[in-house]
Amino acid sequence: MKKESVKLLRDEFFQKWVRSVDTERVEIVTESFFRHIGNPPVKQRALVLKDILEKMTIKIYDKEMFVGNQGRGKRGVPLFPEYGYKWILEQMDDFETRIGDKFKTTEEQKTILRNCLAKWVGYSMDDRTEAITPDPLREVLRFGVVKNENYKMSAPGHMSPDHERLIRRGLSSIISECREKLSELQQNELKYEGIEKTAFYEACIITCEAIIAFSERYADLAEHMAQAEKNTDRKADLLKIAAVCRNIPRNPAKTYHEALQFMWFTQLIMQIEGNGLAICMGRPDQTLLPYYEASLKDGMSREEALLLTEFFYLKCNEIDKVYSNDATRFMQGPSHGQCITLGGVDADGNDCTNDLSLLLLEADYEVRMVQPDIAVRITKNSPEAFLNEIGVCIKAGINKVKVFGDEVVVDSLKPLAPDEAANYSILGCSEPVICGRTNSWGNCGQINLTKCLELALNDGKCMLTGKQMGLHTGDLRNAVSFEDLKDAFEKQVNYFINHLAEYDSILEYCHKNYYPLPFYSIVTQDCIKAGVEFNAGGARYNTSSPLGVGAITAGDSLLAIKTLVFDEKKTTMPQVIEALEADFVGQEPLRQMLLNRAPKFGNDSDAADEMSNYVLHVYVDALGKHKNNRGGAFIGGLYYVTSYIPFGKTTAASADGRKSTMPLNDGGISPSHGMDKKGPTAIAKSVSKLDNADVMHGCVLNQRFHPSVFNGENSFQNFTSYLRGFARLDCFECQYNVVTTETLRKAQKNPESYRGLVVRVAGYSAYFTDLEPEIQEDIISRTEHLR
Amino acid sequence: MEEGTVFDIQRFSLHDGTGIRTIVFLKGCSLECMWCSNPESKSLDPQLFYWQKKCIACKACMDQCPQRALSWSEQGIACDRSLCTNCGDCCKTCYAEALVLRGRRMSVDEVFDEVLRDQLFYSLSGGGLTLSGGEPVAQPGFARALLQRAKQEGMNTAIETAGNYSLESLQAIDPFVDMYLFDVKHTDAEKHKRFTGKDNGLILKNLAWLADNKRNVIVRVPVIPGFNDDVGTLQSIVDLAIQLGIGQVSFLPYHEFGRNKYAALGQEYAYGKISGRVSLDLDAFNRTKGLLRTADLHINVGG
Repeated sequence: MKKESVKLLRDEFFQKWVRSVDTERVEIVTESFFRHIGNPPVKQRALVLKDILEKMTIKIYDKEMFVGNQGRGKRGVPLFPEYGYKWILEQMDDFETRIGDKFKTTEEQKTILRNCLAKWVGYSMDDRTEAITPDPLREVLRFGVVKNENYKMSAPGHMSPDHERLIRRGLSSIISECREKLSELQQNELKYEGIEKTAFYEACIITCEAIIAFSERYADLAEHMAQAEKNTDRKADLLKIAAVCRNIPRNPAKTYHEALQFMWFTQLIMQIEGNGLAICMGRPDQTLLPYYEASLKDGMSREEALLLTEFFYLKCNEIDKVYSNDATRFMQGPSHGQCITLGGVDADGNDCTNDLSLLLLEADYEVRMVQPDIAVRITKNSPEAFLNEIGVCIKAGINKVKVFGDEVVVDSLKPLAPDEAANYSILGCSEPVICGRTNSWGNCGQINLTKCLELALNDGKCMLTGKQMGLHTGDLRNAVSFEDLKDAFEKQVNYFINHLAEYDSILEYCHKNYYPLPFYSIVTQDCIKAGVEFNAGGARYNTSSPLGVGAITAGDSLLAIKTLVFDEKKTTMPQVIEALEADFVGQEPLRQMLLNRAPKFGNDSDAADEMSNYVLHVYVDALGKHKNNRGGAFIGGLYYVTSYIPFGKTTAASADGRKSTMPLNDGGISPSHGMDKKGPTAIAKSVSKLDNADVMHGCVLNQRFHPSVFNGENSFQNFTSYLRGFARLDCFECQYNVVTTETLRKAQKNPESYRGLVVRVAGYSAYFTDLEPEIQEDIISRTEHLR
Repeated sequence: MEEGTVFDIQRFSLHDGTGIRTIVFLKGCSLECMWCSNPESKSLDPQLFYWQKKCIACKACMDQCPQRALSWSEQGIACDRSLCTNCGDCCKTCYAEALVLRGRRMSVDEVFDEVLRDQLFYSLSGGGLTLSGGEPVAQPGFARALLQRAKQEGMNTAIETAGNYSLESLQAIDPFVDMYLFDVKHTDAEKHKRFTGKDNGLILKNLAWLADNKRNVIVRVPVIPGFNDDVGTLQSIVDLAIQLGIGQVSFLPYHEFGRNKYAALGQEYAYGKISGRVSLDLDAFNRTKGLLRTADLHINVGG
């Protein structure tokens, strides 16, 4: 195990390996699924997983310390015909050439896919969903105001496996538990429930045994390779790998190395089982601490632990997914929400940041790849060293660390989990879930809130196509008060959320009845205890959270109308609606008035902040009227990956001055592009005026910093003070971008979207876009110089 | 209640004093530095800016002007500055914010409505209020009232000052100032006068008083090509700081970021022409800096 290997493996990952489709899983599953078709679905799926783990090609790659791959080749990505085959058949020719997320696909692979996928007609999630979706709902979904793509293409994901329990107990102890449950069941008369539970426990046992055998395959391979290995260092590494894979996951982990490998197998098999998005790794600085300390005691140095962690992070990047063309536009980039959460409080409310928290950050500073995603919990007592390390990562332009105001997140979770709220980890973007106990259904659909406002202004008719998409809520050209508009807006939001909840029910029905998940159930507390499968509601905590998109754009638009039409009477409803329909053509002065003469969110303006908070409540309250089929609540989440761009494309001009088809506000609650003019503290204050705690799945704020923020002697202390202030203001989440030349170039091309970008040079200040081109050039070169 | 003319309030400033700060920029200055990058700060009164790039050519402003000072030209709106009274009426219908009045009368309370919004960040970072300009002491009563209020609020205070005023004026604000960012542009009185309109007598006297009274002072030197960027001049400033027992000198390299503001005010930026140089040669400056004998003095570049 060598430090140089990390860099070499990293370079290789980008240079040698190409993101490509791997058809092996498709072939195995297509054969296995139909061979086991007589079984109860849960057992059938366990048997299929067993077949995959037995048959898939395994390999140990040169230099690596952690083993286990999704597909053949480090970047070979499997496909999941049980969830969807149509889009693969229709789009596989595009995989290699589409704009985002390209995957190499050979002609030979396409032939294999055509042959295998044809057999799935009627058996896949997409067919089954289609079969039970009623026509009126189908019609509404076609409008694209609400969507749910990712729950159709994979298992639900969006969960945090109970790594702590697994690593502590080992799978053999889970098998024993299931056997005991089975023998209890056999003592009673086998009723309907007993049949279901028997199948479930058998499935869990099959799964655990299959995973142990999978690890043994790696142990055998490592031993075999060690025999032939000439290099003594590498030989020792291989024997180490063999010993690790021989012990875990059958038995509890004894060392830091074993604990990490155990965690990796769990993460990997979650993927192989169901391809779920956003399967996070919980709180490794807490979970792994006993193993880390034990290994230190046994003579492992801190440097070795750091290096092992770096190898582990490299491995994390081998998780990847092929999505449909459409879904790719909404969730671009190979991050997949595999997140670790560091710092925060323990059950007693004490800050439990420790040396491992720092080490896990330091490893990321070294590796600098997309995965794992990193969330940090900032408490009142977060150690300065921890905040400094966060600053180091952010300053380095890694632009990855997500900061959470710990208190407000814990508060937001209390209604769900009063006793366990402190033990949350972040998954996906900003969703806090109780580690190992939650089936969150995060990101189960998205609603375009700005579009709802467009429809409210136009009696439910789309301004771009003229189609009646929403409810008839009346012609607002004659509105007498702002209340009329609010009323129409609320009705549209409720109307679409009702449809989204209905569609989610259909998806839930299919997941539960056709695609049960034995391994998800093993890694989630209460499933085995209660004998209830994960999709059937076995987890302790169950939620559903469709995302709200464009809340700030909607809030700013509402306030512009309230201020300029109803309060100041500078313009009228007919004028505004006509201008929006015309995309402001010939109406530039009115557009400028809407842009500049009404306050906008992100400037610490109470009026604007309250209006966005109103939109937040309309959305959260509409969700609150629904329950999912697992007995859980619908909760809010104001975050989204790239969906503000495609949603923007189908949204007409808005009354905040945004032109038709332009992006909606990003992040979730980030100020509209270029509208934040008072800097980061003002933004934090605005965010703090939103009821963050009412949005259980988080409010995401993107902030950009010019690298000059980190110049000067006290810059770190300033930055860490800012983080502390952000958390103290009960702001939920923020992610930072230290602005790069590339952004400044974009700002030059598209100044209107970058108006808030302040360039601060000693004694002189300017908005970047106000500067002359040659001066901008100067700043750009200076920025490079500073870096 | 004291009132004054403010031309900008900038939150989250990190390089003008300790911690996270808000800078309040006051209008008015007694110097006429040829290279000034804040031309709108010189006059005590509000002034009209015209940002041509933002103009959408709606021409609504032209009818608003009571002086009929605005007309349309190839360069957009042309303002006859001899007629313009900087009343700001034209800005009312300029929704694109091409025409903006820079500078606004504000009371201490109004300023603090904004300043106090970041109180939490000041207390976490040891930051507070920085007065800048212009020359903040050009509005002596207002500057004093702002600083005094900041101290009452428990904030750290700093002032960026050119130092060209009476010792009495300095002593009037002094009880409320935690840190001076004090400009020293040149040690030679005659040259100082030629490039800034005033000699440096009062400036050096005030600096000496601050040093004698052990105030927290950072000497700031705008490094201007053709004026003070030679090793002899910079050494003389460094020597002065050492002699006065001042611990830190900050060099602020020359830039021309203010040039577009001259255009927006209908003025010409002349220093580039006068000096014959459009930018400071940073490499040359760094070589010069390397030649300076600095003893224990802490030297840095930038704020």
